[in-house]
Amino acid sequence: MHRLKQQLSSIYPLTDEAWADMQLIWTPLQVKRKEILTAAGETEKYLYWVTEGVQRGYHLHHQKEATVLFSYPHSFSGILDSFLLQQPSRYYLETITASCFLRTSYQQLEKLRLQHPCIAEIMYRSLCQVCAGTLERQIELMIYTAEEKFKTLLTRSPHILQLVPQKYLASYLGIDATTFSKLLGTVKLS
Amino acid sequence: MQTTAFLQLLKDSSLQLLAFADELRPQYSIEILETADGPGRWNCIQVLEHLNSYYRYYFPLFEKEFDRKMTASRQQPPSDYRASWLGGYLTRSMLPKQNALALKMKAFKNHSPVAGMDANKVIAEFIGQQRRLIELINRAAAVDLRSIRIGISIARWVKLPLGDLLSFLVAHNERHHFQMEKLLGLAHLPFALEQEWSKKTVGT
Repeated sequence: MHRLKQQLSSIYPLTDEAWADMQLIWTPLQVKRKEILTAAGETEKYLYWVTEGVQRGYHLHHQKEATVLFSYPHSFSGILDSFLLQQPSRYYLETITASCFLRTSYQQLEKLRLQHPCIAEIMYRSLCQVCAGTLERQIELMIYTAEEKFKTLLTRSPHILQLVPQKYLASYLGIDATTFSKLLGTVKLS
Repeated sequence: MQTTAFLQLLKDSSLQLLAFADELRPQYSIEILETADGPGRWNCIQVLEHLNSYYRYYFPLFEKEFDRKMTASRQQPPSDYRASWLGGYLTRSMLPKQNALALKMKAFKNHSPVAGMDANKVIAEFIGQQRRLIELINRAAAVDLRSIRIGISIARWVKLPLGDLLSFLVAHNERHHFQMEKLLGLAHLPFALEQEWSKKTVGT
């Protein structure tokens, strides 16, 4: 909880009243590995804050599968667009390893967002970052070579290689699993 | 029937059941969920455990086949799906018709739930597995629904095409979804597969 408060306050200062309310809306949840938390077609009811384990969001399209997000301790998780718009999700959210979360529901968070301007500001600023990150990734996916994608990922999140199986990382970058393992053997990160 | 439409139907029905199961704990007390409508009859928890027992048998088999086929071929699967006569018969016999179950059946021994299970655990397992079912239906779009054949849970030497098994499972789910609605005193709105089937069988 303390960590969550720190994290939120670093985005924008939280008033004591806001934090007092904020503390109450999170409930702990434990999930086994390989468990689907949200299915495509379902509307995302929860926003998660990860305390343990690794998760991924993915989309299935005919024969292909695209991993669109990873989450790990001290990051938020959930199918964000479905959560915010309360519309059916196009993605699956699955735990890769056994996981622990704090989670809150759409209604609870909405109530606090409308009640406390500082919470609304934190959400707004976080979403600005998400938007910037999404557009940046768009460029990476469209024009980067496999090697550039690989280097960018490992420079930005070096710890991810230990956390996430390679086949999911390859799927996240939109490259072949064999290409990925080849790059792992040849590319030197400076 | 078009394969995509067929799978969408199975997915819609499964989402209906998922939404129903997801509301059980918030809406009803464990006591109500553990109340049967007569001696020797099942309560909701036993019904869900009965469905869990099918999932436990079939899902690992489906996943094994999907992993094998996904790596083996990149061929486009057939765009049309037709059930085998046995698969079609099994699916039809399961579905509720005109607000009633046409055929009464008794559960096979390997699918009979024991009494006194932990209700919260049974519901949580079911919800997780139901989401997995939706994902597996989604994955099934990538494979040939007729050429993959899997032994059925009550007689493993009888192999049915994957598509038939998926539609059987979903029809069987609708049957028990209907049963749970009755147990909880809820009005019945036709389920996705049931509705489609009643449309097609009009006049036959």
